[in-house]
Amino acid sequence: MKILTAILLYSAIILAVFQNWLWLGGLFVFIFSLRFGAVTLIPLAILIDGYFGNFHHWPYLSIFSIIWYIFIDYLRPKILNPNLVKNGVWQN
Amino acid sequence: MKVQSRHNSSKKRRYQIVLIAVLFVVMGLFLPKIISSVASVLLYPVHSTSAWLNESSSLVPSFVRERISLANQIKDLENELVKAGRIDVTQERLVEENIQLRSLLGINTEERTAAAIIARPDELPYDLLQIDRGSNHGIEVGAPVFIGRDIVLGLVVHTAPNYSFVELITTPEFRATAFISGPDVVVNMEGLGGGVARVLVPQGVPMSVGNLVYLPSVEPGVFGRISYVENRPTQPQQYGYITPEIPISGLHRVAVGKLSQISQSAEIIDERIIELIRNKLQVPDVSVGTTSSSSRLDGAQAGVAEE
Repeated sequence: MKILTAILLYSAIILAVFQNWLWLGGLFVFIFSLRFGAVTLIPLAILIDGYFGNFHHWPYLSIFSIIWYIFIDYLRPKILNPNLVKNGVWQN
Repeated sequence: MKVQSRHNSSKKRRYQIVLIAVLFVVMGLFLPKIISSVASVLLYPVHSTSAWLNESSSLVPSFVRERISLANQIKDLENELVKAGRIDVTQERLVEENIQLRSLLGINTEERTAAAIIARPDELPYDLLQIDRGSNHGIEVGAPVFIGRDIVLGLVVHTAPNYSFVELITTPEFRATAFISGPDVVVNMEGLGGGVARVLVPQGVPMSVGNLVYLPSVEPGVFGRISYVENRPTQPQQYGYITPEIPISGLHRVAVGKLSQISQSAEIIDERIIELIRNKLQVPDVSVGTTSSSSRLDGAQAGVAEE
C-alpha cells in the first residue's frame, strides 16, 4: 500500500509538472517529501531539467531539489514523531 | 554512543547523496545533449499521457479541459462584470453631472408626456403607433416621441382630443439628417419600413456595426446603433442598417416631447454635431500630470511665439 501510494504520488508530481499545474505539483512534492523523503525527487528533477533542456544554461530544478532534500532531511525528524522515524515507519 | 554513531552515519549518507546529485548536475552541464536524450526516452510515457490529456477527445481529458476552460471563462466574466459595474457608475455620474451643468446654464429639462400605446402594427399599418394622449393633453403634431431618456422613436403625425398617431422614423420615405458617431460623419437617413432604417455613407468611411446614430435635429436625439453594414466595393456608397433595440411589439409606454425639441435651423444642427464630436474626446477618470503637460505647453507656446 505504501509503495503504491509512493508510485501514485510520484506519477502525480511528474504529470502536474507536465500539465503546468504548479500549485498542485508543489502540494504533491510537499506531501511526498514528508511521507517518503525527498531523495527520490532529485533524479526526477534532473530528468525534468534534461527534458526541458535546462542543462544548456542552468538546471534550476535540479539545484532546487538538492537544497530541498537537505531542507526536508533536516525538517522531517522535527515535524514527524521522532520515534516513528527511528523505527523506520517514515523511512524511505 | 550508539545515538552519536547513528547521527554520524545519517550525516555521512546525506553528504554522499548530495555529492552524487551535484556530480550528476555537473555531468549534465558538460553533456547536456546526452542527458536530454536520456530524459526524453525515460519521460516518453509521461509526455504521451500529457499529450493525451491535452488533445484527446476521450471523456476524461475533455472533461478536464472543459472544466478548466469553464473556470477561466467564469473568471473572465467576473472581471467583465466588475468593469461593467464601473462603467455604469461612470455613466450615472456623467448623467448627473450633465443635468447639473444644464441646470447651471439655465436649460430646463423638457416637459414630456407619458403615453401608453393602444394600437401597434398588428392592428395598424407597420411603422405607425397609436397612443392614448391627444391634443387635450398638450400633444402637438410634429412632437418627437422617445423611448426611455433619449432614444427617438418617431414623430406625432396626427392628434385627436384623446389619442394621437405616431409615425416611426423607420417609415418608408421618412428622411432625416443623421450623425454617425465613430466615423463622425453627417449623412442622410431614410426609413425602409418594417422597423428598419438605413444610412447612406460614401465608400471609404470606416462605418462599423455598433456605431451610434444620432438625429441632431431632435434634442436629445439618439436613434439607435448600426446593426448591419452592406458594403460592396463596386458601389459608390455603403449602407448601414439600423433597427430599434427594443422591438415595437415589446413597447408599452413612450414619452412624447414638445415641438420645441425639434431644431429647425441648419446652424443649430451643426452646433449639435460639433458638440457631439467635442464630447467624444472627453475621457472620464483621467488625471493629467500638470507639470509635464504645462511645461510642454509652455515649450509649444514659446515655439509658436518664436515663429
